[in-house]
Amino acid sequence: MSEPVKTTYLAAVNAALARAASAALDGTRPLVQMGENIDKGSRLCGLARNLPGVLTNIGNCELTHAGTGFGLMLNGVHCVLYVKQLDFLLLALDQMAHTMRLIRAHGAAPAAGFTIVAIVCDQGWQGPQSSLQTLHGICSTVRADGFSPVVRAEAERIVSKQLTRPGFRILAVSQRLFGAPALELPVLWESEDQGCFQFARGEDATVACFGFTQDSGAGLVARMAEQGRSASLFSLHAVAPHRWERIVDDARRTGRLIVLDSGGETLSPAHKLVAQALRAAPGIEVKTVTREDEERDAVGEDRFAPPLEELALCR
Amino acid sequence: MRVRELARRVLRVRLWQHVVNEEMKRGRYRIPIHAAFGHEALAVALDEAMEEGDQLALTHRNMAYQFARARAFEPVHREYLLQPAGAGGGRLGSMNLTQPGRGIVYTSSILGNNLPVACGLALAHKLRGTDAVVFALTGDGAMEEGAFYETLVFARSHRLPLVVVVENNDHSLASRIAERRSPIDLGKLAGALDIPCRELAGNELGSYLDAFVQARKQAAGGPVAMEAHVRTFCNHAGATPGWAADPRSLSLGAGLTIEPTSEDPAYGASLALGGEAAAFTESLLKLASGLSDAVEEAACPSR
Repeated sequence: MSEPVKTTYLAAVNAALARAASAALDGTRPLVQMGENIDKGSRLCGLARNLPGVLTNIGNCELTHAGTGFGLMLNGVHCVLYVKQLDFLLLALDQMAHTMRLIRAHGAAPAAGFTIVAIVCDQGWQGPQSSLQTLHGICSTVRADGFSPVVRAEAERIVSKQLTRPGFRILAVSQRLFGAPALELPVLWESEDQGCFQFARGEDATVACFGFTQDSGAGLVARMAEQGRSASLFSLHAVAPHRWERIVDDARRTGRLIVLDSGGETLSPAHKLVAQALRAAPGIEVKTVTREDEERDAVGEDRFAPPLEELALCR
Repeated sequence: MRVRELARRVLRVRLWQHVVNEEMKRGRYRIPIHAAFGHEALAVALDEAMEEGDQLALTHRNMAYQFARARAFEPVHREYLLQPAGAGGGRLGSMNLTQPGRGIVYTSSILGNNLPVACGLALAHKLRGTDAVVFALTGDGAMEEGAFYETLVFARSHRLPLVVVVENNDHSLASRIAERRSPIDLGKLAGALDIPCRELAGNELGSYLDAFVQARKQAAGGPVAMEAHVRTFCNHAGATPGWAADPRSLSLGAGLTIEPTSEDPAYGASLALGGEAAAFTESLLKLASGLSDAVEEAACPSR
C-alpha cells in the first residue's frame, strides 16, 4: 500500500489564504488581492492558486503597490498584496515606514486591513542577492507586525486571524519549505497577539525559534527525545512589543536556552531574547545560532542549517 | 459673481498665511511650516471644484490648501501650535496635517509618497462605485521620483478616478529645474501613457476652476494630469528669485503683499474684485489685528 500523500507547507498556506479570503469576501468590505502574475503562470509559485474573488495582476513597482494598499485600507477596503520576494519590499520601505508613522499619529485605528504576503527565498541557491530574510529588520523599521509561520496549525491560525484584520502587517512564507510536508505540531499555547506560539513543553531545554527555524527546532527536540531528554519549543514572530516572559520563565525552569534565527540581522531579535533571559536568570546556559553566525561567502548552498546534533548533545 | 467670491477667498487665504508668517518670524511655532504664498488661486479653485466625497492627498507645502478647505483660520493655526483643538488634534503639525472631514485624508512630508496612496484611495472609490474623485498634489521635485511615474502607470492601468496636480514652482529647495535635472515635458510623458494633461498658468480664477471641474469630469474615465505653473515664496530657504520680498522680511504692517504680476494670485484676485478690492483688503487687514489677538490668546492663554 502506498502512503497517503502528505499536505505540503505550500498547500497548507495556500488553503489557509483561500479560506481567509473567502471569509473576507463574505463580509461587507471589498477585498483587493493583487500581485505580480497573481493569476498567471505559476501564480506566485502556487501561493495564489485557486484564491477566491477577483485577482488583480499588477506590474513591478512595490513602493506604489504598498502605497496603494495603504490608500485602500484608509478608505475602508481590505487589501492583500502578494510579493514574490521579501527583498522587493526594500523598495517599499520608505512608503511603509512613513505611512505607518502617519497612521499611528492619526490615532484612530483603520477600519480595514492591509497585509503583504511575501515569499522569502530561503531555499539556499538564490545567490548573494534576492535572498533577504530580515523580516524582523523590516518590521522593526516599519514598526509593523510580521509573521513567519512554519507549523501548519500556526500558519492556519495566523492567516485566519491576521489576513484582513484592521491595520497593516507582513506575512512571510518560506520558499525552502514549499514542497516539504507541512510540519504538524499541536499548539499548546499562543499569545493573544500571535507573536508567540508554544508547541512542546519539556524539562531539559527551552528552544526558541525566530524566522523560519521551527522545523529545525522541532528536529532538535526530536533528537533530544532520542537521548531521553525533553525540551520546550516556541515560535516567535516579529510582533512588537515583544512579550517573551513565557519563554524566559520556561528557560529559567529548564536552565538552558537555545535560540535559532534564520533572519540574518546583525542585531538579531535572538540577541534581545538572550539578554532578557540572562537578566532574569543569570545562571542559565545559552546557545544561539543565527544566520549571521552561519553566513557563507559562497554563492552556492546558503541555507540556514543549525548543527542540530551538536546542539542536542551540548551540556 | 462666483469668481468674485473665489477672489475674496484667495485674499483671505493670503491674509491667513501672512498671519502665520508673522508668527513664524516671532518663533511661535515649534514645528517646520511651509507657507504657500503664490498657491492660493490653485487651492481655492480646487476647493471649489471638489464635490461631496472627493478626497485630497497633499504634500508638505500644503498651507494654502488647508486654509482653503477649512475656510477658517483657527483650526489650522491651532494645529500649528500643536493644541488639542487643532485640525489634527495637535498631533500632526503642518507637513502631515489632514482634515478628513474636509476631504484631506493623507498628507505626506515625504516627496511622492502621497501619490501611490492616492491610487489606493481612488481604487477604493472605483470598487465601491462612487462618483468621487481623488486629487493628488505634487511638485516639480517630486515628479523626479519613481513614485510619480509608477503612479501614473498604475492609475492608467486601472483607470482610476485620480487627478494628479503638479505644482511646478521651478524649485526644489534652492535649486531651479535647470540646475538639477533635464526638463520633463509632462504633456508628452502623460501622453505616452495615454493620460490627458492640462496646463495651468496665470492665476485666472475662472479658468482654473473650469480646468479643475473639467479634469474632475474627465477623471471618471481614468487619471488626468495637470501641471500648474506657480511661483512660491520659499520661506524656509529665502526669497524665491523673481519675488520682490523674502517672507522673512514681510510685515503685515505694510499691508497684504500683492505683487503686480499675473504670477501672484492675490493680484489676479484684486483685479477680479475691481473697485471692491481696496475696501475688501482693508477689511481683511482689520480682521488681521483680531486674528493676531486670537493668536496671542491661543498661544499664551494665561496672558
